[in-house]
Amino acid sequence: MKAASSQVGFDELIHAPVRLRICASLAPLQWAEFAQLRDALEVADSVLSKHLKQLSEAGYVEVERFSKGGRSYVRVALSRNGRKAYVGHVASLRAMTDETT
Amino acid sequence: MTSDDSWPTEFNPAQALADVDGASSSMVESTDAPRGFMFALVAVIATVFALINVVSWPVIFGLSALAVPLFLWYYLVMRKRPKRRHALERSKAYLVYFLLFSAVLHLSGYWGPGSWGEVAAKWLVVFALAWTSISLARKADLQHRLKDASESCV
Repeated sequence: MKAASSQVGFDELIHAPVRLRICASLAPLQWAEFAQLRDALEVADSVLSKHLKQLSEAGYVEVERFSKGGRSYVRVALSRNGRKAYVGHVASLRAMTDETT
Repeated sequence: MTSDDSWPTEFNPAQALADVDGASSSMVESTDAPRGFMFALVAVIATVFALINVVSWPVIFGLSALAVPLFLWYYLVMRKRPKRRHALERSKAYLVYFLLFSAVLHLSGYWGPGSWGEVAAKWLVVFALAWTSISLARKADLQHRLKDASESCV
């Protein structure tokens, strides 16, 4: 597992396709429930859990458990650091495409 | 490393950006009001504005009350959706289209229909202009939220 780069720009942790899509899905949201995110990304629970754990360990996402009507849910949100890293990563992707055109 | 940790073929930044846009767009759209709700709401508004000064006020209030079940539907649908992030500032294009919508409703007050045929014509005109301006406002808002999602660190 590569560590997230400390500088704002291309981020090795976000670079993986599923993690990039997780960050892209969370970026326009305050939060999403685990099931909503899983359905949007069309990935298995285990795959989403694995990538959320990696993002969470890097401080890029906040995972919160809560209960509603006697049932427990998991809520996921992009943290401030995660948003900063994601925005930097997207900017570096744009810079790469500009260089190639 | 498992297969979902790396790109299947040689990494292409344009493809990655397309993935980002696709994922963000589908989330932005899923947090917006359903199109059916907007259509029904604009239809109720057009009906009310087409009938003002043609039918009595209790009928107008009765028609306006149709908005209550509509908003109940909206609430029930939206509580099952992800929670949208509000952009720090509204898009200027959104405000322009929303002002256009308000102007359409305001100006419709100057058209007093003299027959039921004119009421139908007024309804069509108000509905078409209101739906166009609301659709354009919605589109501008979605684009602004997408831009905010990938460019704003706050």
